[in-house]
Amino acid sequence: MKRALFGSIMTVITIVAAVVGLINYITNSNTTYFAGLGKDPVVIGCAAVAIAALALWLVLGNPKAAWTDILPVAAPALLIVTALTLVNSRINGVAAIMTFENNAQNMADLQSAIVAIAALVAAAVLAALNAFFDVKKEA
Amino acid sequence: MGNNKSKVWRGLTATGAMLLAASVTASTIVTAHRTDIDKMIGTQSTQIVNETNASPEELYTYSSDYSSTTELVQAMQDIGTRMSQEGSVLLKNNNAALPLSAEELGKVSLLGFQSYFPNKGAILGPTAAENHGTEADTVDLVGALEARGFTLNATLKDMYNSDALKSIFKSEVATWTGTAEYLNLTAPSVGGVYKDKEPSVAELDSANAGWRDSLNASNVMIITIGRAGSENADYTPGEAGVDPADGLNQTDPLGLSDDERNLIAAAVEAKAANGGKVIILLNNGNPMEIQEIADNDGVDAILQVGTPGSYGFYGVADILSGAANPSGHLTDTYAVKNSLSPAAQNYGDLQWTNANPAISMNDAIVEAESIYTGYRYYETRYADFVLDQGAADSEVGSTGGAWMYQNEVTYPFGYGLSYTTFDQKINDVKVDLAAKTATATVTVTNTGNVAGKDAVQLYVSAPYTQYDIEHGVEKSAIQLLDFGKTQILEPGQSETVTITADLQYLASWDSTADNAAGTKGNYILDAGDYYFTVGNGAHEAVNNVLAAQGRTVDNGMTAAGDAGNVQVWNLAALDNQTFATSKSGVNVENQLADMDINYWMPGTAVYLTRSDWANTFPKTYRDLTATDEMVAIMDNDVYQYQTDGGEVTWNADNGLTLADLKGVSDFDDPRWDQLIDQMDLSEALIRTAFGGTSTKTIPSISSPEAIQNDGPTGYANYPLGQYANKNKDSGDPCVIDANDPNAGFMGNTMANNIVVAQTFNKDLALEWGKTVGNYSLWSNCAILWGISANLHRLPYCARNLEYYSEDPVLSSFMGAEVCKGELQYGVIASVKHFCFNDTEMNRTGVAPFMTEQKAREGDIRAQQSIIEDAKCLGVMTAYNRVGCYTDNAHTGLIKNILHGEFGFRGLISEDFIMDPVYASLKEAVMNGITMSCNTGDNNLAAVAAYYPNLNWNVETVGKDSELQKALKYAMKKQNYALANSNAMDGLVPGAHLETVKTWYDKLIMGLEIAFGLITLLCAVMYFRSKKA
Repeated sequence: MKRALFGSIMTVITIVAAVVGLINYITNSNTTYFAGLGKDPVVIGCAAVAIAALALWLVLGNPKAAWTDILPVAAPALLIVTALTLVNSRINGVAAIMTFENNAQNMADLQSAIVAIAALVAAAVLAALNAFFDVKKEA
Repeated sequence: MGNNKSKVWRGLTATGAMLLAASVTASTIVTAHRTDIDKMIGTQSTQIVNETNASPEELYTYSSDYSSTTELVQAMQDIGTRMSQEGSVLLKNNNAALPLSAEELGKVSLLGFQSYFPNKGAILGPTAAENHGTEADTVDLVGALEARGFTLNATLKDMYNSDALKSIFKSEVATWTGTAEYLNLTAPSVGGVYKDKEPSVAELDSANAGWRDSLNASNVMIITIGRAGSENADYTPGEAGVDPADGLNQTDPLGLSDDERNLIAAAVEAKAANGGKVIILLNNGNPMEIQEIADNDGVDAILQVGTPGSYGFYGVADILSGAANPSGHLTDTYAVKNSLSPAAQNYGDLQWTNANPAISMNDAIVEAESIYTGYRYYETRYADFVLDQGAADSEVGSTGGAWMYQNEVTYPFGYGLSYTTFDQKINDVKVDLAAKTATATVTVTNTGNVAGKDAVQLYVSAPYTQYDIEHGVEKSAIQLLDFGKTQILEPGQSETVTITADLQYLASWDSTADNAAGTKGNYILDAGDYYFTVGNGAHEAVNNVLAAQGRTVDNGMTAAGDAGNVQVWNLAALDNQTFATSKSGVNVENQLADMDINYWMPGTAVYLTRSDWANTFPKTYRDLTATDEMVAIMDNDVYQYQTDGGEVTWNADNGLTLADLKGVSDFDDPRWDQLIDQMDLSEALIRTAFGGTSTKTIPSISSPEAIQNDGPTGYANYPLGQYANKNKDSGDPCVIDANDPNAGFMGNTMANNIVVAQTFNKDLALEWGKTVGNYSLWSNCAILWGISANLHRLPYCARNLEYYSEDPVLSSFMGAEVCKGELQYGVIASVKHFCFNDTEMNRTGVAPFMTEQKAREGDIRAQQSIIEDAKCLGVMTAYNRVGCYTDNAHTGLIKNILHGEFGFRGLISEDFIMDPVYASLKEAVMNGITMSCNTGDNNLAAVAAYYPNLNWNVETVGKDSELQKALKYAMKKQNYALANSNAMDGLVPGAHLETVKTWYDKLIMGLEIAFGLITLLCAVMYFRSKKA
């Protein structure tokens, strides 16, 4: 019972981290510096599917329903793809802001990207750990 | 138990899947940034394969003057030393305080923290390498003085190196990871304020109460003060630019603080007791306000050393000791109060009322000073004061009361002292309009007692006529036309210097004049007398002209001029023919009318005219509101794709590779078009969209990758050994050993460009260019963005130290010599920033407005000779706008002037613009720009991801024949530059490119396989445990 509760809490934390990452990404996509890059459907799509998978896992995850085990397996993979795709799209900007375009506004714009990446990486790692725990006690 | 096992295997499967996904995604990232990764870790992802066994002579076109890196780095040290010997400017030398005697070398006190922690270069941009453990290590002032045998006051040395004082002058600069600490002075960030860092006298007393006493035994007191420079930094004029918390009576960031004043006063006080000397070293790029030091009788000497690079302090030490005789002259006017200049009235963060960050629409800078920047303002207003015209004596722009030159200028442009004296006599001037030259002979005689060199500054005063007044043409009362330098002259020795000046630089742009194109806008020479003269600076020269015009000190001249040192040439009638056609054969016409704010918003700006100083002196144009028409252009989408469906040849089978055109300098050779016909449209789309840190390969024509480097002070991005050829069997004459002691040597060692220009020595600039060229061969890096030649519009741009001067002729001619030197060794010698990058404030989006005359005779002229005469192979455009258009989108400037009038043929890169919209890619390509500065994977999907709304794809562009032709033209120019550079060394006809799997490719592939297997295994075990 305790382990299942722990698993549920972990999953909630993971979902929160993923949502924080996604919201920060969307925020970052609307900043002056990064707005021109638009919103990457891979980032949004993978994050959304991962969050949905984790939510389903939280609701439906059941030792008796083996098919649900695909959810905690897929989520970390999707989240790491999200995080690294975001890194890929921000590398040039980070390089510029670190050097030629270093000013307060650009640094502030960069902040949400860093938060998003950090949250998504954390969510991916947490999601992988989630897979070691059930979210419901075996009946 | 089975359930627990399945949970473990489920968890391991998830972990494996995550790592597999990470490694697969990482391979995508690696591919997208392959070039940059290769640069960082020194790997190569492609290699050249020659089909034939070519000889080394066939493979390698260029060879070095040096047989080893030892010779190379020591040559860099040597020229760095000599640059500061000739490029430091002696501004004051009362009672021949300098040079120091042999005895005095033994008792030197260094005061001021910048004596111990000077700025050798900038933090960003024109940086100075810190080479240590090489065969030419970096030196600071202390190290150079000690190396040259000076004995320094140890008490002071210990005091300034104490933690107590370091904590006072330490600067903290915000970075993305936190803060970086510097012990040298730093420039304010853009929009920031200057904070004094000089320890107060009380703080010195606190650090070591005996410091004053120590001056008695070491009574040669050298005080270093300065102001730091940097890219991406700016000073704000006046008190607004100073940290209000300082409370040190500092009225301008470039003026002195009480801490600096009191330190100087303490030294002067000590001198009264110990009988020593007080010498000031100016370690600055931006002209400081130093009238009070000039007036201070207790200060014996002032030596401006700029930021002297990695070795320049050796040269400074040599000047102090007398081993070298100073011969440098100022590249900028040192005004009493910089903020009073006309240009300073419109500088800083002057936002549009309808600014829109989403489209990088931020500031509008109306450069209402017209052509009157630097000495063109001060000396012209002075001349009009003497000539009693144009209300030059009005109070506007003065330090107080009626404007008088002697109250406004401390040291004029071109001024500099020597340890000896020279007499210069202009013997004759022969003007040849057909040849478009003026040839002057000037006899220079050393009339003093010490051997030395002297700069010959050839000035001209063109007539300012009623025609000019009526047609809005402005004229500087004096302008530098050309310059030369003598060899070392022994006392009593003479040398006749012949200068053949290009009269192009005498012509004025008249936007109203008829032209050969049948439109408006032309270069003109007014009818009237032209006065040619020489002088120790622009002020002495204008005094000579005024004397020749019959004026004396009774007319308000600051000193009598030498009328006998003037040659007069008369032009009977206005000439609008001689310069109606450019050197490339293009008829000139107005191209920049839309840079005038009045073009868009009639009646908005009044531009300064010398016909009425009082009523046209610039006001500050703030809170401007852009019209809808202007905003539509600043939306950065001015070119619309066409769907004409015209046929353009791609994918032809002509059997050529770029190596077949190695060294072919004829741009009209038909093989160029045949070669580019072989390309695929997608290749051209990708290569223009992604340039970044190298040109990247083009497989269809076997075009190699050429590494880009930044470096106004030399190659700054990679150590010498990063790309150096270490294969001794290659036949490369510049092979280094794997354990070469200089493999870690960084090439950004030269002084800032102000010091280079202060030499007024073209030969030295050429020699520096050759040294850079040699470095290029050893380092295997072909492209150098090294010739920074924007004009110093005013003293406050902290990046000024990267550029040469406030004078366009001095800028352009010195840059041209560096360029010529680099080209001899196959460097893709490149100038930047074309054009108008005269502020770092909001440079992505700032919209400068000015008259076309100012544009053409200012910043464009500052780069003209480098492009037109020296024929550089690379041009970098600018972050800023040109009027409303992004620089890259301005057809008049980029297509019609740069390519058309100047005949530029070569590679053009955008600056480091990361905004895919502001990059204006389709407009840029239409104007002839060959690549952006972004990077990405070598496919159109990556392009589409980076430019999400641009439709930069085969389907869209494939319907626009004009754009396709522009793409081909861009590719032709870029590959023309490569073919005529040392990037082709190692290639012979028939060479092709092969992809190489680097160690990191193999690592990632290994990880993918390993994680794939692990995931699979875990999944199998998971199912087995479930079954159990």
